[in-house]
Amino acid sequence: MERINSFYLQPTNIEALASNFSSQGKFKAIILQKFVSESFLNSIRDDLDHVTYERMYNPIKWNYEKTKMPAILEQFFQSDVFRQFASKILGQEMTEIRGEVIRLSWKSYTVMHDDLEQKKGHFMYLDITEQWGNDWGGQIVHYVPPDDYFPISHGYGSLSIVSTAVPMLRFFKYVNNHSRDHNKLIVVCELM
Amino acid sequence: MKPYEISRSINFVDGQFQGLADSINPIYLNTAQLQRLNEMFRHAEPFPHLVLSNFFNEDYLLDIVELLGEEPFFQKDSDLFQFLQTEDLENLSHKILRDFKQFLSSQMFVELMQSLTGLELQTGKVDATGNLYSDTDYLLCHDDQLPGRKLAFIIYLSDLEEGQGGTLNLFDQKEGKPHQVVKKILPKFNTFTFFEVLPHSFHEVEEVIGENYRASITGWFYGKD
Repeated sequence: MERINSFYLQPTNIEALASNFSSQGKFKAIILQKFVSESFLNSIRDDLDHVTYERMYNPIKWNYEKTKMPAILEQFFQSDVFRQFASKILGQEMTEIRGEVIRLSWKSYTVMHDDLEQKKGHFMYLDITEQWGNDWGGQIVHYVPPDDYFPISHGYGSLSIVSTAVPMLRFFKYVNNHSRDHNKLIVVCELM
Repeated sequence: MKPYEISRSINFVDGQFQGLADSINPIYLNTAQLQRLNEMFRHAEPFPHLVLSNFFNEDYLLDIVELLGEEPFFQKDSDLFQFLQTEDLENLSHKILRDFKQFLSSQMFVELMQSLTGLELQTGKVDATGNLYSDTDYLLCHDDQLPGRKLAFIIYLSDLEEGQGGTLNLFDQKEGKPHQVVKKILPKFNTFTFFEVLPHSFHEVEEVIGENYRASITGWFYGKD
């Protein structure tokens, strides 16, 4: 069964998306809604039900949980179909994709602490959260000094690709009490 | 010389701090009490701080609440915080609010703060803004350190109950990093809270939950350099 939404596999659509992406400035971002199929998302979540998360807690920098990518996602990102797609969007060959799964819940956050390294390069976020309110927090916000902020609002099954030629920082917006018993799951990757 | 003696020659007459009795609860203007509070401040854990209830003249503070409500508040939103804030009180339209800022930075009040804390503070230099937190607003853990800042303060203008969030949480430290919350200060109208700004004065404002507001005037006193 196809894991990627067939819309994103049609050459004319890939070309249009790549063209849109490359025409942006020093900070490029594209959000591909419903990028992966529902059945694939279910399989990922099933796998993640059985993993152990590591809590990352340093109040002045972050409070969240993370775990390594499950095998099903590793295989997906290493597949020829996906790598070719990502390479076409980014306009260059992708040889390696490194990532982890972030789990956010009430009171989770990360901040742009002074001693964090500013990064440039290519990044990718796959949102595998089934139910999440727009006003619950948890958005990824990219900050390009001195004063440009680029929030990325995800949807269930969306893939966001970000490329920045200038150093940037990013943070996960604080998750507020409206989220209560829900978790947000995001696969965060760096493409090389 | 003990810290609380700094001002004695100027403002203490018959054991009472003079010139502030109209604005401040007289129980805080007595030399013996100031000495006791100074001790409490310096020995407070996890870092020097005090929480003084019923501090200002209540009618005076009620006027300030009412007038502050007529001033524009602006959304402050970043990785570290989310709340509404006014401009500095000295730039607000109501004279009483501008006067209150002047009062906070006046020689008399700064000397009182020196007596309470033992810190050497600058007269005429105080930052002070109105702040309003509603449901989901927060201020994450930080240390307040910026050049010159010596003493952070909060004047609470509203009440919150347990379970409604909005507490000022103080962290202890481990190897210079914030470790865990060891004290929670619940906002209560007319409570004056202040703490020394230090490399390890880690604190946060817990997210407000529900329909009640957390209103305050907050700011910093600066050190003499």
